[in-house]
This record gives sequence, C-alpha cells and structure tokens, in this order.
Amino acid sequence: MKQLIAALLCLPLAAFAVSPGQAAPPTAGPLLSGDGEAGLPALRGQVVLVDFFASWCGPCAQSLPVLEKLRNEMQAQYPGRFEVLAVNVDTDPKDGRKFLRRNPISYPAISDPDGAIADGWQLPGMPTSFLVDGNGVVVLRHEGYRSGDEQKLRGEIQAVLGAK
Amino acid sequence: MGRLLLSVMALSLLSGCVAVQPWKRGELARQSMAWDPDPLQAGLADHVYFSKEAASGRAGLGGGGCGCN
Repeated sequence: MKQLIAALLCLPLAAFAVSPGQAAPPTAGPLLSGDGEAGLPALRGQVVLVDFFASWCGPCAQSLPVLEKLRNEMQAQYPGRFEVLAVNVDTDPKDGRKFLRRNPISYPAISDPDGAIADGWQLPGMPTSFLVDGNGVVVLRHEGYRSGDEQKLRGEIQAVLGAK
Repeated sequence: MGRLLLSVMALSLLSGCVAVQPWKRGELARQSMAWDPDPLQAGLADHVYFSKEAASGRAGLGGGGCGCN
C-alpha cells in the first residue's frame, strides 16, 4: 500500500514525462548564442543527448562541464555519430547566455524561453537529459545530476552507438 | 483506505493550487518572490519597528520590551 501511495504521489510528474521507447517531441529553436537555429531534425541520424538546463539550476552548473568532456570524448571515439543538444529554459535568454559564459560548451544550445519544448518533453525535474537514437526514438531518460552519473551515460551512449 | 485515497485525490482536484512545472521554477527563484527582496531594507524596517514599538524581535518573537531602546 505504501508503494501504491508513493507511486500515486509521483504520478503527476512522472506519468506524462517522455519515456524510453517514445518518439522525441519536436525540439528545435534559435541558438542561445549567435544567429541561426539548431534542433533534432538537423541532427537526424546521429545519437543525440538532449540536455535541459537553466541558470537557476544548481546541478546544471556541475553537469555542463562534465557533458562537454563526455561529448568531446564520444565525438573522438565515434566521429560524426554523436552530439549533445542543450536546451535552455530561462525565461530571459540573457540569463542563459551569462550562465554559458561561466560554463562554456562547444555543442549547440537552443533557447526555450516560453517553455514550449520543455512542455513537449514534460520534464520531471531539472536538469533532465534524454538520449535519442538516430531514428528519433528516446532510449534513456536521465533525471538530475550527481557526480559519477557520466559513467552511466557513457555506458548507455556506447551501447546505442555500438549497436548500430 | 482506497476510498479515503480516492477522496483525497478528488478533493485535490477542487483546490485552486497549481503545480509549478520543474522548468518554470526559475520564477520562484526570482528576488521579487522572496519575503524580503532587500535584506538591508528589511533590517532597517526591523530596527525602526522594534525601536518604536519597544518590542524587540518584531513579529517573530513573543513578549514585549522594556521601552528602553
């Protein structure tokens, strides 16, 4: 019964979040820094880690440098087959740009100030990242960030890339 | 137990509370959402209050003052 109550309490957040096996919701938008656009359609065929972050999110400051390192490592290992797509959910993109100046990344970051993209993914928390395969299907949902999480992500990414 | 749970869930639907979505929690982190957006101003207001009312601790503590502030 306790488990049922706990499950019911978590229901509002987790029930509608995009889960592995589902198609990735539309994810494209203007680049946070500079001109142009980026998104999943342009990265079709590659394995993409869609990472939602915000300037007010403490763990995001820890996860971004780790993802940057992981991305460079994976791109060296699997050239042209892996990319990270960051989605900034700050209502004021200036906050997101300021955050990126403190935590620079070399992968594309798009801006989602009205939360339309985040709404489609129904994030269960911040930060949350989703691993999307080359066919646009979600294969992993990773909530939050703790030191050492990159080991799990690396394993999952390698499993998806190795299976191709 | 099941009926009680169902009642609680049904009642929760009638409340006016709206859950702030995780990606919109930046709004809650805004300075304007704090009880005291300006700590310096709040400290000054506290000092003026307990000096005038002779009630050290302002609204946060019980009891009165000696009037000797």
